[in-house]
Amino acid sequence: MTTAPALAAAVGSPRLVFVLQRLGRAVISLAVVLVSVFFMVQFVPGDPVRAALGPTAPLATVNALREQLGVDLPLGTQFSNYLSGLLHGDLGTSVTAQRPVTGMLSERLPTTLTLAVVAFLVAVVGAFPLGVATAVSARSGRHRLLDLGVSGVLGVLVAVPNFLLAVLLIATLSIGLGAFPPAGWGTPSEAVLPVLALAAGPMAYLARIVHVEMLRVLETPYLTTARSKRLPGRLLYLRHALPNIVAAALTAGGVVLVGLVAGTVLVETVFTVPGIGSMIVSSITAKDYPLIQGVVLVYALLVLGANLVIDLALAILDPRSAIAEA
Amino acid sequence: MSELVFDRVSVRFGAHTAVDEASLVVRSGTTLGLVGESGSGKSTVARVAVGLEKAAGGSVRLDGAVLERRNRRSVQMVFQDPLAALDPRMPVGTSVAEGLLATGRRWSGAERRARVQELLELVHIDPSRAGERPARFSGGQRQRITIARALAAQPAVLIADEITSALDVSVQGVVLNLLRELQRELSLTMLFISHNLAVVRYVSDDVAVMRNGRIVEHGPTDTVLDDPADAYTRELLRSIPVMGRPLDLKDA
Repeated sequence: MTTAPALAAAVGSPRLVFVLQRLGRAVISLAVVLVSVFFMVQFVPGDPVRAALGPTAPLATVNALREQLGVDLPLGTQFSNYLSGLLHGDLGTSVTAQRPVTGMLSERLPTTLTLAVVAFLVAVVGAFPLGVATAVSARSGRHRLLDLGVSGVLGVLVAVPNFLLAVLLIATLSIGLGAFPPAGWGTPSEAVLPVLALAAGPMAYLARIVHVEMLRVLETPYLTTARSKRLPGRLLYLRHALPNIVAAALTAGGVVLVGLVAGTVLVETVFTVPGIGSMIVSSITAKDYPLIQGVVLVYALLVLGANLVIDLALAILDPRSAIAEA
Repeated sequence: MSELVFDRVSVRFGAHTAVDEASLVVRSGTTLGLVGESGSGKSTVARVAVGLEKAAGGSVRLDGAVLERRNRRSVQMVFQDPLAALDPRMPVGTSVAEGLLATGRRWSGAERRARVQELLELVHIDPSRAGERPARFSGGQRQRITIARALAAQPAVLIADEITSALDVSVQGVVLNLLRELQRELSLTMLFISHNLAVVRYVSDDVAVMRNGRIVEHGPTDTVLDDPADAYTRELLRSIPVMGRPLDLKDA
């Protein structure tokens, strides 16, 4: 952004400028999403009211519902109604459920958030030890076969789509071994398979990034310096290696988090988890415009929010990157 | 007393012999300058002494005792690139304080702070800047911090591997004077590696010349550099540019 120097002079702190810029960027992205969600849904062929009521519904009923939902108004009026509704926190009424969209979302959002956050934590907690351990063991070409095996398995996990993995998990752990219920939501044991299916790919991806970054850092001269201080290995990795891969790992973590939020759509559908992910699928098949708009908006907010959090975390952990950008 | 002896040390990388039965003596309390072109094996010799490279044959002894993991901390090395040798995320004072661990004794918090302050003063860095990260220091300052870091381990021998080649000429002088001063004050034994003969002459009592992994000449600085016995040393001397005189490089 061209105004950065002027802004920096006015505000004083380059870090604050960075935060303001990122916030501004998020607001612009959100505006684009708002507009495109509205028009994308309008251009999908088919009649939502007919889809909701069925082809045999009497014309009077159809027209009544049409009027009630406001879909008979001109597009411009509909758009301004949509915007003013948004400003009042009103996302409209679902065509199929005949209930306010905000209420439906607030019922189901906590489930999706829980699933995504738990899966993200599992991915991060799994990825760091795995990436560090494999990098340390593979350093300067040692344990070639082990390294090849581990990176092969991780590569497969990255490549397999989560819905396929979900089916595999159900077939083996649930139907095969009977260890976990194949679907549902509510008890911890029901959460195991969805979380696993959602977390495995991101974890493998993050572990690869940590592995590569760790290998790079282990070869740097300052790690040689640290070794010549006769630091125990634990301190060497915790104090000198890990802090220096955090910026890269966090950036990758942001990508993973965004992918993970999107991944909930399929995983929730496979495991019939009552979150907004399974809702988006049913709302699209039913052409439930207000509901689609609401769900997509929430997803966009989640993705933008995740990106913003990662950017701010980066700015705090790595002041150099923030100042370089600003 | 701390005499460092390289006894017929050989290092091989695959089929390539990087160091071929090199023997050197760094006399106690003196500086040995090790010169040679790039790839002559001088850095490899140094890396063997601190354990970064394994010798295929021969041994390195400190006062008669073979250097191994147990006693290797008494040989400390300062590396070529001061920009890369310090952890960019760690305050320099902490980096130096960690060096104290290598002494093998336990330091209380107050002792540690006092010692770090002392070390930073020794290398003429303002101790009040101990909390700053390396990026805030210039190349020459950073090199002096890495020297403080090495001295924190209380080494008997300091190995300086091309420590001035990444620095500006004006800053080189500061670092070289510091080394001479430190050596006088702490009666350090020092192995000083450089391809720059002028720099080597300035700090060294003895000089050894290396070529293709072999030591071709070894003796007191004045003897070797004023009256070189080996043809290669003469060639090295002739390749030093002198202001106002054309370079004579016809056999180079």
